[in-house]
Amino acid sequence: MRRLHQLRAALTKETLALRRDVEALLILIAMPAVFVLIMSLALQDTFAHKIPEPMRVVLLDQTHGAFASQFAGILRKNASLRVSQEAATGAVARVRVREAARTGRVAFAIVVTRSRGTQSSPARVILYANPALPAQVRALGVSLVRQAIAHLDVIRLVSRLRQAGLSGGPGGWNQRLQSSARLVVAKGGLNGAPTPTSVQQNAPAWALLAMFFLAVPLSVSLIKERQQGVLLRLRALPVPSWVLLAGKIIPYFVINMIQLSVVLFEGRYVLPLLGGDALDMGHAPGALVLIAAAANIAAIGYGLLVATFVRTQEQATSFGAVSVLIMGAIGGILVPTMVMPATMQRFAVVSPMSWGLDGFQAIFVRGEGVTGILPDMWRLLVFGAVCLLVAAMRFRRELRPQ
Amino acid sequence: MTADLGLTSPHDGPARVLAASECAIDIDDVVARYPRMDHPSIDHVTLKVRTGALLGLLGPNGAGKTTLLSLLCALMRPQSGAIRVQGMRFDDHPEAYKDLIGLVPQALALYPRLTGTENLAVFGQMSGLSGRQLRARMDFAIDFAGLNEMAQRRVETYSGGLRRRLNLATALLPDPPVLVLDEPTVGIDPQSRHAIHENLRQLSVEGKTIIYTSHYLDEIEQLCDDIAILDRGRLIAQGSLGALLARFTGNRIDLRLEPQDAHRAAGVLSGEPGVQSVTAAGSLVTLATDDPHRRLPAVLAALEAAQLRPVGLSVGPRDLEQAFLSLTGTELRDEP
Repeated sequence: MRRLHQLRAALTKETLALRRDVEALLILIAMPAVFVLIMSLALQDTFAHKIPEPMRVVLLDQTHGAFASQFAGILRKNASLRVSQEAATGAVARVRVREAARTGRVAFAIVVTRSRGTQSSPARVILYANPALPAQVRALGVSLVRQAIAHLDVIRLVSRLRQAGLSGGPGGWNQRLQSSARLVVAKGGLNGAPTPTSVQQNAPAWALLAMFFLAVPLSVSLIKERQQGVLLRLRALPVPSWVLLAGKIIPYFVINMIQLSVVLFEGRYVLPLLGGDALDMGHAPGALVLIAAAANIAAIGYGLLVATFVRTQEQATSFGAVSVLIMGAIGGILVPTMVMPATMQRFAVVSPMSWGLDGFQAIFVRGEGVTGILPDMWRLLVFGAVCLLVAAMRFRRELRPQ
Repeated sequence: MTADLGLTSPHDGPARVLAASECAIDIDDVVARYPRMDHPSIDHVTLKVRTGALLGLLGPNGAGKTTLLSLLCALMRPQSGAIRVQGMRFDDHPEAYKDLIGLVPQALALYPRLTGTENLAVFGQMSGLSGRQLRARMDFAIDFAGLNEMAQRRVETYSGGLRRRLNLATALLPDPPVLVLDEPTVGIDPQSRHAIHENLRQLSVEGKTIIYTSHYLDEIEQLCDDIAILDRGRLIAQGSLGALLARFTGNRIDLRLEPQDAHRAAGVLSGEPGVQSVTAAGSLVTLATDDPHRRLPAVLAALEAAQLRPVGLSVGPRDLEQAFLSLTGTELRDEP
């Protein structure tokens, strides 16, 4: 019973202190909401599912053969494409067109080359897609290229049939038709996972950043208690460390959940009013609650860990903020991982924020349920538990007689 | 180190050993050392405080006052020795031990954004109070601190004096038999200080054992029955104020010289007729004589002959400050 009263007191003082600091509370909740609004609208076209009309395509011909010029001609006749040809043909040009697609300057880059480097071998058409394009737009691009190749194949077939006098003689009907080109879709193109909309990327991303940003006020509140001498008074009272920690964890957990709810509500209902896409949150509310709670625990665990290591408010604000921004930058929060180079994408998985974002997007984008988020949820929970454990040990040691 | 005055009653009676039931605090040969420190912060201190005493703990900077209070409040562990409060050791009953002591920290250990009432409620519940008992103790604390209508306002709007009174009242919430106050009147006006003194006297009369540290020797002199003086982690004196003053006042000549001359002067003067004892501490040389006014010319002549020139001189009975100076060889000054 005594512990219950003590816990109630710890919760009361933290809640009251937070409520009285209205400015800080507003910043905590409003910051991600404002970011989501700005970033979702600003990046809407980059993530848009709308098919840009016409789609810009750059073509690099490294064969100088008939196939490539006919292929380019067919593509140019397509009204939904605006095809430009790269004048240079070397390896540098190939890197340049690939970068043009990767960075979104064009929707697709197409490189026509030879399969085995000989003039007689069939052409190889390599398609690079802008990774930020929605999957269906990328599929459309691939389909148009396939159509163009098929079109050329049909022309060739008809031409051969004519040459064979439709007689079925040598080289006629019985001759197997080898396609004039083989399509290679570059990695990250058609076979990539479905991509999120702008708000599906930005809403969970900025909410996660704000959750982890809580490390700063959480550390500052503990440092203030040290500086004000309150912690000394509490150490002299018969109150265990876990009560004091719970008194901090629970209110901040609630704030994070409110913050996330505000962001999701904004994405769902406010953003469409401003011309943005409505946030599609999938069909698994249970999974959403689980991944949100796991991310919240990870964020608060990290916050408490920082709080028990830093000694001044300056350390808390600088180290807390910078470390969270680094985690955000690595984890695909500030820059979506899909536009990162492959090396950076591999690196992104070390950030707890990337686990959280992946969990949210599993529900929002891939339409998965609880099973789909389990790996990310467990990672977040283990990270949070380790942080909380270390923080609790350090805090307990601080409260114990030295 | 045991107090050199031994243990006395608060009324200058002969020293006597306290019965266990009379002893609220028993600090027995305690040694404490901070990590990476060569010297112990508390060096074999033995101190017994009778139930209901109002003990003033004095000492210059770094003497170990706050360390001793931390040891008493179980914020720090002694390396050796034992501390008992009402016969109880922290290690035997940690929670019950903490219930016995109310700490008034030097810092204003309050939540500034919470009101006075909210602070009292939070710390009352943290102390284990609830329901009617909590409300009754909060009413007492509000009355004790003189909060009245200010109780519903945030602490950050309080004057320094009111904050100090609330700081003290908060420690009284669980009604602990022992109250430990670390510089409780720092930075407040004389009226508020007077009000706190009155409150403490009342608590002492009601039977609370109070340990009070301060840099204001005059307030210790006015307030405390017993005094303990710490210097470099050692307890160099303990006793009633009367006994302490009696020992260090009387027919004395205090000479202040350049610090490098003090010991030579003590040597020169130790053979002078009528001088019973000579002590040198820092720049101060103290002579106990049968008749200070009659002996003073000869003393000054002896110094002149030895080419020693005093820069300060006082003759006659002294107050606690002079006794403190004489004992520690240093002045009491504010903590850095």
